[in-house]
Amino acid sequence: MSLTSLIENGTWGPFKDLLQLMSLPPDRIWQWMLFLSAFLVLCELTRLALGTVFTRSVLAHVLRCLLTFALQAIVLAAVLVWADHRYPTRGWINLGYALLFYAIWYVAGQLVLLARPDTEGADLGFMTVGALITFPVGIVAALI
Amino acid sequence: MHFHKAISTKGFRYLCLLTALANAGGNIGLVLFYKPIFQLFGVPLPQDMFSFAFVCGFSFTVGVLAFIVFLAPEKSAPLLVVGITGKAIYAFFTFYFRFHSGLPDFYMVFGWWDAVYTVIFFMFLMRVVSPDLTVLNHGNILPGVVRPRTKKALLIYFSMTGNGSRAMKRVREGLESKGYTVDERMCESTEALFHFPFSLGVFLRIMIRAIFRVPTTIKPLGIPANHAYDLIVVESQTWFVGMSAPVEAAFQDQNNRSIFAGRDVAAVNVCRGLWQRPQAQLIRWLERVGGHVVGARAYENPGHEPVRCFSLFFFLGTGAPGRPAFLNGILTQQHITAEAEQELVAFGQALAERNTMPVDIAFAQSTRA
Repeated sequence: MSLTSLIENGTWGPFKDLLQLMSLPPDRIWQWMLFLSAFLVLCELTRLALGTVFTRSVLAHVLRCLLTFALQAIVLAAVLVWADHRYPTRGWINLGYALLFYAIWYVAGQLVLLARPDTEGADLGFMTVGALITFPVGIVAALI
Repeated sequence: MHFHKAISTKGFRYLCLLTALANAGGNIGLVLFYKPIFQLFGVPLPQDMFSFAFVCGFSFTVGVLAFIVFLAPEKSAPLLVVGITGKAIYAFFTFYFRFHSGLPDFYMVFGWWDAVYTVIFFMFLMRVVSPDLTVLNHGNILPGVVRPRTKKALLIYFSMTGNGSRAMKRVREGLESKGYTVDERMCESTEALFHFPFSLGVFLRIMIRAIFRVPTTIKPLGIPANHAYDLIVVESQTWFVGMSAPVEAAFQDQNNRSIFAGRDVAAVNVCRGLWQRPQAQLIRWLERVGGHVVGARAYENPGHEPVRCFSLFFFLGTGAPGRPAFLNGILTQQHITAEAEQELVAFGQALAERNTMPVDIAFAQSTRA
């Protein structure tokens, strides 16, 4: 078996499905809502779980920095652009959904306060910085 | 620091027991009685029995894992990570095949169950890791090591904007009010980079270095290993979610490590809002260099988000608080509150009056060390 045939016969279906799902198709709202919500919840829980462990690890620290707002904000911005490209009439509606995702992100962070009494919870300050990445990009995409 | 009412460890343990019974017991039942169960719920029989049995076996294993967590949660943090991974993957594929291939509704019960337990396991993980920090954050002052009390304390800190030195001034006040003589050492970087106010370029350099934990070096603290201090208090601020480079450099320099070995030490953190990781980093450093941590305090600057966060950006950008002037009524102060300062005075007093640990415990600790 050659390398080419190995790659050609690989299973790319789930990734193609994911790319399709991230265009926020209007007939699959529940699906992408669940997926993006799960993504944001897992990011926030991972960020907070890294709060007190691997204190000398550069990798853990960089990951925590990225998860503070940058990764989530950039992914949501990219999703808005991609969704607007595929479904141009839904740009403004998708911005509303993006706001809902930020609310879910916040709730996930605050949920941790139920688990550990000495923790920071959601960082609304840096989430707002994230929103300043996501929403301007989404608004420009909706306008164009 | 925040302190909230939380779900008890017992509560999390019983949630683990619940999924242990559901996963381990449920999957045995499912393998034995899948035909009548599937008929009862109108679910098509599995087409691939190997995969069906395999998934049941995998799920059973996670049940065993959850039972071990139930039995000994404090030793089970790695198992919780495995549980989180397993349940998240199971939930993901259940939802994926539900939407992609029309997996029957019956299976969604398991998908939702595992999705919820992914979050529960995550929360329990956060509960069980670093329990010593929770004890310290409760405000407890732990008993100190068995060694003569010289009533001399050393404060080591770095302060770029003045918030840290303000906090340490209060700790000093508390210590001195209880008869301590206090000396101070500032962590002075050998690089000119760490100064305030700074230009945008310098800020970006500090930021990138903080994110990637690029170390710096500091001028010698000049404290001999056989110093007379019976207590050392170290302060650090938050730089991009971590402790500041000059303070960390004090520990990274091998020559300084003997300063802390076998001594009572305490940690103070001041920041805009993210204190947890810098505090953990500072305390782990103190322990790593042989210090006996007896207390810790962390304080955020006052104000509500997101105004507090943007106030910090304006402060760092303009080099002074309350600028730009037209936002003066909105911007929050860039140092800890008067209440926090009073608490730090009390912290200094409590440190000065700390107990000594019983000799048998001290002996056991020294044996372990």
